[in-house]
Amino acid sequence: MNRADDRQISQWIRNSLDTGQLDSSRRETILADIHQQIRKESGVMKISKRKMVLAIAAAVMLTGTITAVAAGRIASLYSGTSRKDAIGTAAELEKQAEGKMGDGIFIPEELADGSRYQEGYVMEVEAFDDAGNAAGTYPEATASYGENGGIHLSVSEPMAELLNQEQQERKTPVAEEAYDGVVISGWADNYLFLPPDAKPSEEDVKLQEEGKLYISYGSAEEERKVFSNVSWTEGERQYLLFTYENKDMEEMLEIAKGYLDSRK
Amino acid sequence: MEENNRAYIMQMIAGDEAAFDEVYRSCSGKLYRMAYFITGSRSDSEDVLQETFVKCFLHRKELKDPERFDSWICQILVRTAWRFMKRKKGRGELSYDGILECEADTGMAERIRRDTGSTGEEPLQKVMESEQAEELWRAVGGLDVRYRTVILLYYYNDYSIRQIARMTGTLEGTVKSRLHKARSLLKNQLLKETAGQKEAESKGKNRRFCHE
Repeated sequence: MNRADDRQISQWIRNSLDTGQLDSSRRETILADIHQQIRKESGVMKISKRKMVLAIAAAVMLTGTITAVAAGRIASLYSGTSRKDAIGTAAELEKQAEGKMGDGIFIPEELADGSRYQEGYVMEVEAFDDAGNAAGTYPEATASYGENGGIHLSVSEPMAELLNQEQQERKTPVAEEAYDGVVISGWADNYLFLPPDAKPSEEDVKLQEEGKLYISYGSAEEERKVFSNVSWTEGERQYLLFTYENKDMEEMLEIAKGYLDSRK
Repeated sequence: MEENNRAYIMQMIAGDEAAFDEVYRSCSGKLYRMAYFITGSRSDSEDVLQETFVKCFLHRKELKDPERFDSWICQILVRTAWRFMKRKKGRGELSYDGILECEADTGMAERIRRDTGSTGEEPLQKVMESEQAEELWRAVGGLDVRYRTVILLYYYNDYSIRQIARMTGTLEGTVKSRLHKARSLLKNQLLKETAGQKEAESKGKNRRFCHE
């Protein structure tokens, strides 16, 4: 076999493999699973809540509360998913979520912006205090919408202490609106995704130090995204809608209101 | 190795979890694609990737030289994937789906096909390439996992025969023999496709001539 053949094979493999990308949402979910597995196997690794919030999966649970947590309180949350457990229809996810959390769960086929249900999971979230002690578990259902899983819906029933803690420590919302008997609150965080070898500008580093920007490495090219999320609570049940798709807060509020309208 | 990566790897070895996360983010894409080439399945690749990084953190102190991180993590990935495939084979679950048979890529091929009529020759070329790639994937899928791995490490990662032998725990002669067999199969496949491509191009020219 000559060098030209070798080059041809090499080129074909590179071209083919370059089409198989791991999307950032899934990548972060796998990272959360890795941390959980390491914790189980070694009992030495702890994840700070801030780092978990950087992961989309974790953002489902504690959005808006990214400050440090005092020792003895809930400091980190874990939830493992495998693609094999993905639930393909909204109706089935609703049924399985009701099996865990009781009646009244609503998982729409479509959100108010027209994005359709893609896949969902029902899981148990494990909570740990700052010393790494188990602090309890609670159920959660998550669903992604849109062709690239652009918008995520989460319905969960966190322990009362976690809900109280979140209320006390949450950042001031950028939007708040009373609607249909609930108060919808919204937050927007700026993210800068950089290639592994890239260096952020001094200005970006300063913004990061001020807590106004989160810098994450590993993307193919530099990308700036806004992580927008809205949430509300009804009794013990917590609802969250979030996206990295640069949707503005007004649009997120409309999607939340559409959700509340359509479940009637 | 980039200075940033080297610093993260050194911090990870010292037990820094944030550095471990950055190491994961910087190389999980490539390792996922490698796992895909070996297993042929997205969900299996995710499992292999996860297990690889769990081992990476738990055994990080065994990595003495950060410069050797790439080959070290590749070795973990390859051996993890092999064990994974062996377990699946034992349960009778082994299959090689092929990268273009997954939903997203089929969708891409379909979009290219739809574009063909409106945008001229280039999309047609893409369709042909896509079909050829499918055949090649089938050929790769027919290879034993050890042969696929040798092909991957040699052509995708550019490792030498000696490095591959060390990573896969085999003799250099065995690597050479596997590489020879695997590349012959791929070469034949590529030759068949090149012939088919020439024939298609010739037909395409004839069609254009008739229209003129």
